[in-house]
Amino acid sequence: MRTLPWATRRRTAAVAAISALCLTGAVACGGSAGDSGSTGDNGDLATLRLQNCVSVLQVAVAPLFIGDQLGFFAEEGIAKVEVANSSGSTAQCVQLTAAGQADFTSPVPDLLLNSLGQGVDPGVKCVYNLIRRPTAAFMVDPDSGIDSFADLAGAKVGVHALNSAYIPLFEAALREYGVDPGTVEYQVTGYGAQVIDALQTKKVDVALYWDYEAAGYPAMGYNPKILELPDKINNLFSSCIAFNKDYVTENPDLVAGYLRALTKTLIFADENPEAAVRLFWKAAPETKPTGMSEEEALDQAVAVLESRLANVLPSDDDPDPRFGAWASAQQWVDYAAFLGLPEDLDVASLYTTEFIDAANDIDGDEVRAFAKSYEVED
Amino acid sequence: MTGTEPRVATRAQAGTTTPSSTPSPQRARRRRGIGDVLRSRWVLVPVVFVVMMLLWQFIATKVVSTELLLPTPQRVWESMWTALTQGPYWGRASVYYHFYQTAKICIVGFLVGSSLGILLGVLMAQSKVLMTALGPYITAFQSLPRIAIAPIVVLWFGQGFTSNVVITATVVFLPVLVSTLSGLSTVDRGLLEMLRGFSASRWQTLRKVSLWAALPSIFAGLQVGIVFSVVGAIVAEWVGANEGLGVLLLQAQYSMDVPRSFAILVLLGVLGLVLNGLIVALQKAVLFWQRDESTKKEQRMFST
Repeated sequence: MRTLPWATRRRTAAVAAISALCLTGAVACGGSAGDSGSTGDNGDLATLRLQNCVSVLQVAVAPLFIGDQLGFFAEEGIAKVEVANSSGSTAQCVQLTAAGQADFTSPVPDLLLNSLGQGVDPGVKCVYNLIRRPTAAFMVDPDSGIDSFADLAGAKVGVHALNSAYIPLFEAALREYGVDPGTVEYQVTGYGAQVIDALQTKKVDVALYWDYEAAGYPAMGYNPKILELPDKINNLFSSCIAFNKDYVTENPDLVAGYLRALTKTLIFADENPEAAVRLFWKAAPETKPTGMSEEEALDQAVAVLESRLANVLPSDDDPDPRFGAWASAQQWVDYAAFLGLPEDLDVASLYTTEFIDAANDIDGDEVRAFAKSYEVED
Repeated sequence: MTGTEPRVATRAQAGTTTPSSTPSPQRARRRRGIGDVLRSRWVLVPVVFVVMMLLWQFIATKVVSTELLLPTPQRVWESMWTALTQGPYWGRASVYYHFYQTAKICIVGFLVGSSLGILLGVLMAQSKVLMTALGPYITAFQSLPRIAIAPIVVLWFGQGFTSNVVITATVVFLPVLVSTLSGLSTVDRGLLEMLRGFSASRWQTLRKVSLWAALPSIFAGLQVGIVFSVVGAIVAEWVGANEGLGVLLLQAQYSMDVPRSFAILVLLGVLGLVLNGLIVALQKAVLFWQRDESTKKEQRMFST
């Protein structure tokens, strides 16, 4: 084969290098358009950025961002809510929100209280009590012979991440039953099928997960036993809607508007969960379950959504039955005490109730009537 | 026939013992036997594929026996076929769209990481001071698990394409840097001394000899880097993304659709093969002398 002259070799190398640079530029420009932007205006409407504390979108969080499709957001000057997933760590989503990479998130209070207890300002403020009851679903295999936390001394414990927010709750429950938390051993058991396998094959004795995760297992043919939580834990609350502190100060109208829209969406989802699921699938089509019929997928998704709504919607037994309200300021103090934090901790710096009235300034009956007659367009 | 026959030097006249370089018509190339055919890529690759599928089928049906842990190849194929043929063919519901998003991160992350690796490799090869000063820190940085630093990258750059590219670039960087350094350190000393004798500058030596001599090693690093870019892209998507095959994989796990999880893993493998193929093709185009050398080697093998 004849040898190519130097000029041709130089040209080949130059073309390769220039092509690489052009490709980088073209793809980077195209890619940058997909970057989650800062809160900006969509015409006269604002875009809010939600940091999802789980690594994938689940139907349980649908009410937080489907309000744009129902017109609820536009009424409040909001175009849409952009959702960004995180690695499944509450700490990461709070950090991202505090750093301004997102406007709001939905953390569990343990992280916020523990941060404050260590003298660290988490940088976010809870404005709405989203999940009013503990979401913990501590599962054991139905054939394991484990009936309560008293049987878990020396247990192997499965978690979705070693910094799971459910670990403090679990350890508190162990102490309530006289079990030393230092005797248990934690291991990561992933999600879904991995958890089922871990329980069935006794890789773990108990798995620390949450309401809607456990709600999906019966559809896979597995019915775990869920341990009953002690009263001390049942009286706690769970995730709040927490905005970046500066955002709350600078955009109180948007915060109030979003919470009003959220309340409407929760009522809508309660009245017409099938429509809420379909709207969620329209917003995030990659989340639609595969490998099953549309009907099965809808049934499964509705079950998951309803399992979460059961812990979100106020009940008549609640001391303060308004949407987004905590039972009382004492509830925060009790939570801090539950975590073993000092009594004089300034828990009031972590939340505000100034938006609760605004969030409930809606006509619930009108929303329910709208939901009843609503049909999702294809 | 008139004319002078070409003068063929005898061994005595040439003073050599090498055989004639021009094979006579009677010395035909050795025919490729059945062994050569069986050892060829076109046979071995499909055979290994069939063996692997049979083994997979056996383990899935006779050993594991539950789709939760290991679906059969057929179920995986069905899931992949559904994903590839069921519309829409673009948008977040489309596997093609997510494939494209991941490929984009891989390519841009690879270009950024490999560019930095080559640039720093050249600089460090030229400067012992730089090599001594930076070497330990680069090694220490590369020892950090990407899954651990990825959340920090997302915190700094925000979620989206930029942080995904940065995470991918950090994975690609070291193999390319090491291969560049290795290539530049093994340039023929004789050539370098010759250029020194001709009073060539450091830049002339680098441009005219060293870089070209190091290219085979650099390309070896690029081949490793492009495959690592897929790993980096998936890590990035797992830490925080809404699009890409990594997100689809997580979604499939969440939905407990194990065949779909495996189908997505297959697609990731295909992506790695395609990207690697691009680098190999580029290598063949740029390192044409390797092609010449392998052809001459083949000619010598089949001429006696």
